Amino acid sequence: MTSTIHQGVYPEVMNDLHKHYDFVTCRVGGAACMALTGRDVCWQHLKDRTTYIEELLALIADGKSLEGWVLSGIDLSDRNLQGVCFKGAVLNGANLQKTNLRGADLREAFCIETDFSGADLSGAQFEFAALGMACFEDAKLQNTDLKRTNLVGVRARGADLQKADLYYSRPGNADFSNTDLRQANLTRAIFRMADLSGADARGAKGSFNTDRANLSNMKQ
Amino acid sequence: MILGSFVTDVNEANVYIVGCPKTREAMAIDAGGYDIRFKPFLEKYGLKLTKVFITHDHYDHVDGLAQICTQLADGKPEIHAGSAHRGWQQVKEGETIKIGELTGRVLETPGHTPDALTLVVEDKVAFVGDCLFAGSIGGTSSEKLKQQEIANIKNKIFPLGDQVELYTGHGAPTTVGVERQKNPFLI
Repeated sequence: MTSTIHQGVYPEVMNDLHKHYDFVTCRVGGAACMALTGRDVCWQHLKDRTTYIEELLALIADGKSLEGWVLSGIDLSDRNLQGVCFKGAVLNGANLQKTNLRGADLREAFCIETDFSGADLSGAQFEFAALGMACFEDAKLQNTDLKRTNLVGVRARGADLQKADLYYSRPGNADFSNTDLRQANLTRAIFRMADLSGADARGAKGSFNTDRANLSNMKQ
Repeated sequence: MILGSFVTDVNEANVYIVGCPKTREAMAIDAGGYDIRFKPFLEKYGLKLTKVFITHDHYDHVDGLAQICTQLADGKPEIHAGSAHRGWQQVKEGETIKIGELTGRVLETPGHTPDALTLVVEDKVAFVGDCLFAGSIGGTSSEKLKQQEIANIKNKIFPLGDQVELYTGHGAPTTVGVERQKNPFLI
């Protein structure tokens, strides 16, 4: 194991897009959590967090892809990660509050219980991402590609989803109350038991499933 | 583990390719359609397709089988499924299938179809076919079969552990934890 992300680990990851599937577990925490890419421990047990983030930001600033990286639990709140490539990365439980992720590539990423509240995700790509129980409250998701995403149980109250593409997404049991869904593509989205109260879906495209959903004061 | 996921144009069914990073043997999970991206993926990782696992015998999960066999596996891969017709090798609850040094464990999860199977690989990921989807469950032809499917999900899939990633026959992947806590058909 190398001591920094820069020297050694990064090129190795670059050569294997599916690094996530090595499921390397945390040396301290055991099987319950995966180790961060470039470290043998998870975020919770990482002692040099500041160094790790500095190295990560340097890679991003250099335009490096973080495809397939395991970054569960990491705190990147309030950072500027515009255009970053997190394709296939694991960001479960990460703190991305108020993070600038405009145009970021998060296709096929795992973001279970990730906190995106207040983040700017305009134009980001999430196709086929697992976003179950993530938080998008007051996030900006204009023109965001959420096609075929798992949105089960997400909290998106007050999010701006104008012109977002939610084709074939699965927002079952999710809180989409007071969201702005104007001109969004909702074709084949399954909002079963979701809360769409107060949402503004004027001009939204496509037919979508609202079985047992709360549609009170929803504008269509 | 090397894993590729592909959405086919046959009812948007997913085909997965699982590869062993040590031996480079690979297995396809389901075969609803043939996709031109399969071959480049196998070549990129130096994988050789030797097996196919069918989660259930529906057209959108098997119609690409012949082409996958001829185009990717010299026409003679082992084909494992929940029934023995068409010359497939029938596998049952608890049996294991090796993918190089990876081990897949079979669960019988009928409901959507009588032959429905789930394959749990290395106790980390499970391929559940149309038994369970993100925020939904597979369609069934009767209430009795629906209850059978729900019982299989709760008694066989949920005990795998909240962190286990679930790869479904259609749509995005999910985890046991998300479905156990939030799936509107199961809570």
